[in-house]
Amino acid sequence: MSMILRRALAPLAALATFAVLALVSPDAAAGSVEVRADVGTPVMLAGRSNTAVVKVGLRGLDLRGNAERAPVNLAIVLDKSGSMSGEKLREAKDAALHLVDRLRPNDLVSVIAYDGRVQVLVPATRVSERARIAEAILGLNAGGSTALFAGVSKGIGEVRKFLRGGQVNRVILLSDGKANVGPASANALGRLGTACAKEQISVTTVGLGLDYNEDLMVQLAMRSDGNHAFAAEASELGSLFASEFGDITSVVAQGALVRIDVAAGVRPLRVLNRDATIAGQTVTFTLNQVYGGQEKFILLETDVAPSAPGARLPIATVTTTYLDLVSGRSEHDRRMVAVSFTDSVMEADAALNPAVAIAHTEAIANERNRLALDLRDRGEVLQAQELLEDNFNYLNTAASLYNAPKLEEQATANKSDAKNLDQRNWNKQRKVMRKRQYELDVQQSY
Amino acid sequence: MRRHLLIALIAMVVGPLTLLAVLAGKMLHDEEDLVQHRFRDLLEQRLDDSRSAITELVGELEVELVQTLEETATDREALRDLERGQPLVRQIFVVDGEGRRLHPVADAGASREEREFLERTRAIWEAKAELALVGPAEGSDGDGRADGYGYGYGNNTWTLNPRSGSSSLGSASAQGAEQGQEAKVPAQAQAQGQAPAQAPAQAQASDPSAQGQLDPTPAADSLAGLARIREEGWIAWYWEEGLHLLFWRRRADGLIAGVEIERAALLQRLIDSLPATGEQASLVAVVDAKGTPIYQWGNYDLSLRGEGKGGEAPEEEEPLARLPLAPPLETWSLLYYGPGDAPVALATSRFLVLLGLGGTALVLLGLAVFFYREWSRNMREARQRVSFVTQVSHELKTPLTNIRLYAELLADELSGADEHAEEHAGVIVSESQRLSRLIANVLTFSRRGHPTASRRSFDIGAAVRQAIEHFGPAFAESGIEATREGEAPLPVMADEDAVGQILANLLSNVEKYAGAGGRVDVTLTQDPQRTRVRVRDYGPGIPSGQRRQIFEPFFRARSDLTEGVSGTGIGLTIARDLARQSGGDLELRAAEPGACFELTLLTATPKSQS
Repeated sequence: MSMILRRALAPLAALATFAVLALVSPDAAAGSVEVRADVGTPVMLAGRSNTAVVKVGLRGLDLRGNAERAPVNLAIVLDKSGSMSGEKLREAKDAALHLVDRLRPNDLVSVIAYDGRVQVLVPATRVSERARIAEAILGLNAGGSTALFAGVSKGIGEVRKFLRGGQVNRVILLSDGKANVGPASANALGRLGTACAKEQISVTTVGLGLDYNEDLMVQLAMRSDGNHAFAAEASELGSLFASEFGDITSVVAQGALVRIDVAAGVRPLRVLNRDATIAGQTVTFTLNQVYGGQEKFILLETDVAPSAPGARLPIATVTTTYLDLVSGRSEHDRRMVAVSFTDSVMEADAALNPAVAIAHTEAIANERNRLALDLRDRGEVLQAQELLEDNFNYLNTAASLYNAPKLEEQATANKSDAKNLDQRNWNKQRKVMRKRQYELDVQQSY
Repeated sequence: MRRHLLIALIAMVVGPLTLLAVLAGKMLHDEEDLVQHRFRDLLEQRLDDSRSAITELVGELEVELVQTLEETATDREALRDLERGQPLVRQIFVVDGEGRRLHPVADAGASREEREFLERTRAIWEAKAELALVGPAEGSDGDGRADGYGYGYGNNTWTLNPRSGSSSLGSASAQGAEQGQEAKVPAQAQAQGQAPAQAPAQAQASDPSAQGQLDPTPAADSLAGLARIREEGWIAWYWEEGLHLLFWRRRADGLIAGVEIERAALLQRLIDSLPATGEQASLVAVVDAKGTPIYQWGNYDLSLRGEGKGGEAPEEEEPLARLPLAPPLETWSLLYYGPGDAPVALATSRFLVLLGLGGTALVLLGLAVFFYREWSRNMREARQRVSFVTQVSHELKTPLTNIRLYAELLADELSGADEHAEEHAGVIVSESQRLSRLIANVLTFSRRGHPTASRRSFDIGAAVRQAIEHFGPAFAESGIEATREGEAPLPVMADEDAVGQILANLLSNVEKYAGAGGRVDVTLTQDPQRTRVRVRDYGPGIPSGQRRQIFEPFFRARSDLTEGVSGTGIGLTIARDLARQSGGDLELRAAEPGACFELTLLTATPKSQS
């Protein structure tokens, strides 16, 4: 228990370290993470209040060529409820076996299977004992109901047994059904995710088939900063697990805490895509891990008070601390975002940061996509359809404006969403939409 | 006779068996209780292991929290950093000694989470609820809970009770809380090793002030009040998905710092501290206050006995044992489901008892059958003997009649001619008469139960005279003087042969047994209804103890009396049977010395004659 708490306190230690370092050198040398802080409109029109979008992104250095990677502490939690029997369970076992095969001998793995009850098939152990692990996985039979919370709990417990800094702690949860034993609400699982994140344990949730509760799975993944995937067919599990493996093994940093101190005269309005905390002038968000070659960002909307032309106004200070898994050191980064003011619309437009604008458009559209889903949930199909069509136009316009094929893709997706709101497709469609929304929110790689 | 015997035998078998069965049933019932009790104890012991794991978990959590809360700086940033790093902490709060909340506060700098926390716990801050003490003293199994958290920290949980709108009710419940607090103080003092004398004083001092502040100030008055009498404690309340817990601690600097426990994280740790499903044949479930399972492990399948479907819902089946968790989770319970070894043990003892009962029944039945067969065999043999004797008697009757007839003729012919020869003939006659009586008795006895008496009226006086005359020679030989008294002018209604046989039997007995008395009185009395013939001798008489039995067949009175005297033992039996068949009776009357038999017969009325 005290160990756990001490570990949990690691980010605090990191923060303290940072605080000291920050005083010494405001702009420290970069580690394995490249931090970017940009504002969408670096030049604003003077004399009026503006909304400035601040994008803070963390990109891990791509170290895939590098033989060294952080050790992995992985728990695979498999649903073995009655509905999993047959091909589903076979594919799940295969996927799990392949995943274990690709781990290195000094990685840790545990395998948990749950139905109404939980079996710890392989307690946390070194991957070197492959034969025993494989035997345990292959011996799995389906039957029973779904104690999802208990299954994840045991998975987390196994990971926690060997919890320490410098390794990637991950639970992969596979479920094809709705939880019906123990806590079963999206909120309860979300809170569990929050608690996990505090220990740098991420839960990746994989929904299989069309019967799982996507809200619950997304909440758990989001709050714990894991991935979420949707496999309509069991045959997709192999590639999903492989993608997950790619992510897990590309982690270059851990426990990233980003703190945005918004300057006076600027008011933080909202964070569009992530679960960040806004308290007064301070916005904080955490990333359990930073993957190599991937950028994870948040978009913060702020309200900037009117200024005179020619003025230059710092709007936010972004400080980032993280544990660099390559160097094994706590790193920090501090940068400032500032805007200047002009009377010229031309000047302002020319200075526009397209990357931020694209991300912002994407996030806005995603927000509206979420709203459409809520409308559809309430049975307001036509309004939902209208909103999605509108979204399609909005995205298409933005796509041509910024020349962003990414937005075009999203537009197409919204078009397709609009077509699939009927009762027959809705179950699957909802899962597809939730998955895409989550993917866009957290910039998931697969 | 046969039916009586059968009933007796059945009673002999059924009686003891019923008794045994009742006893065995009682024994089994007691045993069942005992076994169930022992079994439940055993299961509760097993559950206790799991409870201990949870208790330990919460105890460790308390220790960690106490340390964290004592050490943390209380500025906003430090507290927020603490929240960020503590999986089990959802929100930290700090209240000063006067009950003013220092963190979180709903100002412009509050985060959404902090506002939500204040919303969730508004009841505490706005004093809309009492923090009523719910402790072991109220629970029925207080002893079991007393060993709760082995760290000597709070054993009690405060439960948040919504306060009613009416102020009078509010103050009433406040009083209740006050009493609860006072009652609880000594126990707390002991638990925390504080000076007991000091604690009650504190409690008394704090309660009125707490009550006085209840109304206006939007602060944790109740909490501050509690903090004056205790160092730390749990507060439980229900919100959305169920039980939520707050833990608070009065710090050394007087501030009250507390945390809202992250429910999901606590559940996760609780589940992790409990066994996974392995080889267990039973099922143990942790259920919340509503009985909904939170976690369960073991291989026992409830659907076997339950509805068949959805067998994972343990509430369908009654658990074999139930153990509430220690505070602050006292509303949750551990339930044990299993195949139940108790019925197996019981089945064994039940089988043994049944075996014993069955064995006893068999033995008794065997004995009964044996006795019945023995009895039937004896009866059959006796019947054979009787029929043999009857046949022989029949065979003897005809020659004997001839002998008697010719002997009497001979006696007549010899009369006056040859004194010696006449005397000899007389002996033959009397002996053959005796033999005739004997045979008549035997034949009468063998016909017992088949009455053949034909009643008609005849002169009883003549019959008596004839009988006495008949015995004249024999009495003369034994030196008995026979006297006859009384007259019977009316005839009697009876079987004349039977009456003759009765009198012969009575007089024969006198001759055989009462020779020493030297006298026999035969008295006749008559009234219009009854005619009585009394035969009274002056012999040794019949001992008083045997008076009832002398009419039983084959009974012969005391040995010194019957010694050396031949007799069949059926004379009196037959005599009474015959008397009753004729509508009369034969009774033994008191007489001293000697014996007196009274034969009662119906007097023939003119009506009955015609």
